[in-house]
Amino acid sequence: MGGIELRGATKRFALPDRELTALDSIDMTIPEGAFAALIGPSGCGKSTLLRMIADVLQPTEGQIAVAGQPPKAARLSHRIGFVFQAATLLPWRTVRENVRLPLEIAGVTPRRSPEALIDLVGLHGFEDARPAQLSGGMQQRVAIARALVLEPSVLLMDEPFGALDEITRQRMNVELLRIWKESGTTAVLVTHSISEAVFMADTVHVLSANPGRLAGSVEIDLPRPRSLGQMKLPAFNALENAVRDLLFLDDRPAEQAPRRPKVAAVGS
Amino acid sequence: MTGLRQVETPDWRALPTRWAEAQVRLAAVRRAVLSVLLGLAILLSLWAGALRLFDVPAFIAPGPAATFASFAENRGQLFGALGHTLTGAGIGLVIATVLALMLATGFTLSRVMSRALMPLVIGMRTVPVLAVAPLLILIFGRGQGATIVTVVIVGFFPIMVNAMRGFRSVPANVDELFHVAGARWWQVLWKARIPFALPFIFTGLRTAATSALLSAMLAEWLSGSPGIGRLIYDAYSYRDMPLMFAAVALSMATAFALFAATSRLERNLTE
Repeated sequence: MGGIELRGATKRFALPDRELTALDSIDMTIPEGAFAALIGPSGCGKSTLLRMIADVLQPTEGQIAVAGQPPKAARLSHRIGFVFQAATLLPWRTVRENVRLPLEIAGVTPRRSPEALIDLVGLHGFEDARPAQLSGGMQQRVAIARALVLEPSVLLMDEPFGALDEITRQRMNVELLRIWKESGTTAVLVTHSISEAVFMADTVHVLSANPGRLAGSVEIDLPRPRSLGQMKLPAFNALENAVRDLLFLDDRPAEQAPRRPKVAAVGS
Repeated sequence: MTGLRQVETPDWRALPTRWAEAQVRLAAVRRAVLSVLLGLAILLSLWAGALRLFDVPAFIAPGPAATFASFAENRGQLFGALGHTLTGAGIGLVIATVLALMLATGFTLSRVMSRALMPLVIGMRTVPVLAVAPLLILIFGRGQGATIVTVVIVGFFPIMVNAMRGFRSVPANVDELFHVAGARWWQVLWKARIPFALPFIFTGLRTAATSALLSAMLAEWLSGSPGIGRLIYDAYSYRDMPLMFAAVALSMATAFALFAATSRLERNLTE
């Protein structure tokens, strides 16, 4: 069992003057080996949700199971890999030493060598480079290799390509799908891009803000392996619109308000 | 005929050789020595010029020549005294560093410890050394003991404050990364906090190293322990101005060398 289960997961933060409900009773099932995307407006608690799965934060109420274990047990048995928005590499270590770091911490010998993982993320020949010598995309590849080095059951990614430019980002997404398929982990991707969520995931979970609630989930039945060409298909657009509808559920009255005749004014 | 088969390949001879690299390094050393010599020449001519201009009698302030003569004559005594002072300052600095890093680690890891001991540490810092030195001499005697304790009191604070800033400079994501990998506190300390803090620790160490010499001399002045601080005081008492000037010049040069050495060590360790 390598999946993720959330039952009534709630997170409240105590502020000086009041209590803030960041996440309210989230129920979610991510099957083993699946690719799930979490999308929502900023402040909807998607990063908080990811950190609760990784046992960085503890839920105030409700249960979470990662690979059939409580998050803490899963973390201590090295079932969790985490990729941050910033690559978070240690600048004094080489690529190889950065990828090795989780192994040194856990004190285990991997089935798969760090060098093989560096190959997998397409950085063959850069083993002895320092992070400062690499581009942002290459640094994030190192971070992905590092997250996979302990062969985790789940790979959690918090806007991993959010700091990259659009072109690099799309290329990295295709790469990430290949790496995910190859490693066989359950993947959770937090993103704020609708097309990225639809392109990557089996299921897109849409969160709404204040308090963070699950607004709905969209099953993405596009065939795999995914290719950038699929993004032009009507089916892709329909799925994007389904996600968009869930995202802007509360805003609908505003959108249906009569539009100002902007085009005519400009033309005359 | 050689011109016929010219292929555009990078020429390996264009790469820097060990010889060329050594030449570059040698040139840098030569430049450094030259700039020190130039600074020294300016200092000496200002010194000699000022004495001439204001017509200062030699029994108040000797010129460079008389000072150098005294230096050459008394070099055994001077370097012996300097060695004594440096030993005390060195031991004090090592103790100060160990103590400062231990306290900084404790304060970073434990909020309770920080709350309990921090006021005491800051209180100790605000007391002028000159005021507590007689007490230290009473407690630790007139030998190296008082010198070492004075150096520790003056030196450990800048190291500790900078080390704490360094330990806290670790980005939040790095902490989370170690946490997710199941790291123990000592693994976080050894693999992340100390490396991130190194440049900060060296800033503190540099401040402490120069003040260590000064505070060791101050302690000797008061305790009579036979170092360079005592030598300056004695030379002044006997109105042996050339010897006093030579001792002052030697302690200044030593402070400068200490500063340069810690800067150099910092560059080697953090780059």
